[in-house]
Amino acid sequence: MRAEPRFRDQIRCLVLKDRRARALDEALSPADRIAFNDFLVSVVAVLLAPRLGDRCDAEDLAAFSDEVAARHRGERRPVNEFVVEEVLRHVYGVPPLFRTVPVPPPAMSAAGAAIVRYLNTTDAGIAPDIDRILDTADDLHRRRTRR
Amino acid sequence: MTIPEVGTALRQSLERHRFSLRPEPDARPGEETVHVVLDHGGETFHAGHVDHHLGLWCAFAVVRAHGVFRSDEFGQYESFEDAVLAVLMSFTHVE
Repeated sequence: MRAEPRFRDQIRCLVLKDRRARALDEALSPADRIAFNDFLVSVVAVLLAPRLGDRCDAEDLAAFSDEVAARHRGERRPVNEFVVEEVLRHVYGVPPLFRTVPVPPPAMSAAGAAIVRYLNTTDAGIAPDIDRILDTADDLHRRRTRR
Repeated sequence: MTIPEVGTALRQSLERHRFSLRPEPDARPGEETVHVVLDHGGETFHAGHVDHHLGLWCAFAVVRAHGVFRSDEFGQYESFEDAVLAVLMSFTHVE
């Protein structure tokens, strides 16, 4: 299944620091948000591959989530390393921590956005290449959701 | 008070992120409060707490950086572990 164009647009706006990102996020219905979060997992997977590779253990995921959280706290942005890690657990197929008490979908969106923002801030190559990255994420997403 | 046991997955996750569970110091008899804290660089930061009240564990998480009341309640749970998980998924700031 292809990601909806508005989901791609939302992530593009996030990376390019376009103010429409927030409006697009707020316009998501509860059902849209579930679908958006699933696409966000594909985007995070594509962005993380050069950094963490395609295999990661729980220690690596925790360390990276702490890195994301520390950077955001330093900028006085709200963040939660456990929910950031929950997104990463989806990417790497590690069993979720929040099994009995599921994370609210808006919190998963915010955590996914924090990862994208962190990677974008620390890698100047992402913004100019965002359209190709989104194409790759779209291909991955279609393969993931075909199963 | 004795802190109730939590499962291995949660315990290991807390350790990996340098979080720990600490009982309320100087708790009065009958009061059961466990704090969720982050140990970072020799400093301790508070992310929330759970209170045992009328047989349920109430989860409170820090969600504001400023103001007198920085925590909100995020549900009541029969299980101590679920209440701790609710704090861990809900806090957005540490104080």
